[in-house]
Amino acid sequence: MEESSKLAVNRWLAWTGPAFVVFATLTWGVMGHNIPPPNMMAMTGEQLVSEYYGKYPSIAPGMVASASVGYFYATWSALLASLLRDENGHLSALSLIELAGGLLTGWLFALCGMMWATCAVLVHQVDPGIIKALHTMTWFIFDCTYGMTTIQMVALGLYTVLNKKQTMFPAWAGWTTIAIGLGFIPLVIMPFVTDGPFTVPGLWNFWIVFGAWLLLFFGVYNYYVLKHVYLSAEDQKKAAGLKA
Amino acid sequence: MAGNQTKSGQTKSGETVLRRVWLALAALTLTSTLIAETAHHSAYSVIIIFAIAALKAELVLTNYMEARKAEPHWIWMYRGWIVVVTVMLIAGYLV
Amino acid sequence: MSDAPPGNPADRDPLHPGTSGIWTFLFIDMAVFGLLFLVYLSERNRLPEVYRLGQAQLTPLAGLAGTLLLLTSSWAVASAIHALRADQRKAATFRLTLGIVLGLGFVANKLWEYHLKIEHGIGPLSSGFFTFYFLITGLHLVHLTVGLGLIAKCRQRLAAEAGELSFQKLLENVGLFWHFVDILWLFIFPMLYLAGAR
Repeated sequence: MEESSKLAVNRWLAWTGPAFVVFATLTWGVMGHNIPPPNMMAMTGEQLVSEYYGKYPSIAPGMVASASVGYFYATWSALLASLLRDENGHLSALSLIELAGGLLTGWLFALCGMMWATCAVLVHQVDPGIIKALHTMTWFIFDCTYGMTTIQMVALGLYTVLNKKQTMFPAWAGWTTIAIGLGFIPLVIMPFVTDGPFTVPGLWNFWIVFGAWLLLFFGVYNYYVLKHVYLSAEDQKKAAGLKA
Repeated sequence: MAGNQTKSGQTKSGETVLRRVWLALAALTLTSTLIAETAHHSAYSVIIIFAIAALKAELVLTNYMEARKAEPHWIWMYRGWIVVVTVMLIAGYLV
Repeated sequence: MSDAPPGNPADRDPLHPGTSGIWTFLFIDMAVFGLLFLVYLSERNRLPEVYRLGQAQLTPLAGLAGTLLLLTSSWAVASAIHALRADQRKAATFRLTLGIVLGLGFVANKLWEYHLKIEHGIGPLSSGFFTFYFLITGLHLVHLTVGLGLIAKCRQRLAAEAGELSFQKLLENVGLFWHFVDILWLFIFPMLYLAGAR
């Protein structure tokens, strides 16, 4: 591939990051009425129908659309992985773990989106108990498989702080990412509580953890990735710490 | 490769400062505990207790961590944390 | 020869306490604890009676003992670093040992406190307050234990590496981590044991 094509492809891919943020917020967040999501463990199936799925007709199209947007996260993660090289230009286990985590998280977004869409579309056709079961199972999957995103973030963070030769990402971003990745761990409490900070919409599990993930991880790395891919090919090699 | 060097010898006064700081920290700790045990949860006691905590943290930051000798933005960021947490705790307990 | 950028000059400056990375790492760790404090306060305001009841069941003297032990241990480690810089190896080693012993004293005190609670049937699931009590003090204890391990490792290597800048930086970093653990406790102690407890 020509050098100019390579640069162009990476620049387009870099924009799938911001695209993910914008479209996911619109579809999953706003249309899906997930800011914050309903506290399902404290609700009956009837309540989920009357106060959530049955109440907001935008949820069905919002969730279907969010499933399409999930892949933007995967493409962005793949671009990011391609940048995480050692001084000889090779990908390492950390790069591959970042890639794997990003692909799985993108898939998770798409899969869960469609499961919630199922609830929304069938809300008046099946028993409320089935709606609750499917909705709850989906959130259990969405939240409690946080590990995939955690390993992506820890791998990325470790590359950032351990590779002293790269200047693409500052060390503080790496440490912050690791901290946020570990901050996901209390999500495992979610199936067992009906109130407090560790419920699905809880202060820690939703606002702090997802907020930090969006602003201090995704937003930060988006900024540095975009900055990097608009450098010249030569400057990009230097920034990545590659041998001259 | 340049040889490794240690910092030049510490004077006696450096040791004295550390010891004095420890004394101050211990005294502040005891004062704080006494206030908590006797003040019957008044608003003033809450403010004083957390203000003392902030003072102790500042002493540790400047004397033990030697933050003044670090890159200049750190001492302000750490002091910022101390202020934010202290205010947050006072507000949280008074609300 | 690679074109690699030089890295932070603070990391090679013997007058700069520790390396740049540790200050970054500690700040972030402090921020996370700050968020935990925020969540604790939000819960305390949501369930004031549960928290007041829980706090009344704590042993302030144990908290006080822990505070004094950790403060003294912090002094010992800071003092050890001063001794290292003056190339007083025996003094440095002794003070690190003292720091470790006092730190172990904190651990013993904390475990005894936990034991007292559990003996009375109080555990992390007993109430919202005790979930936080065990979570925050437990997380702090994990940090403290890691710190003790690092100090012990430094103490072991001191005799052989005392003259090197890289070892001075290592010990300073470990010291900074230890003082951070101390600062956390300076706020955890009044938050759990003192304020609003009576």
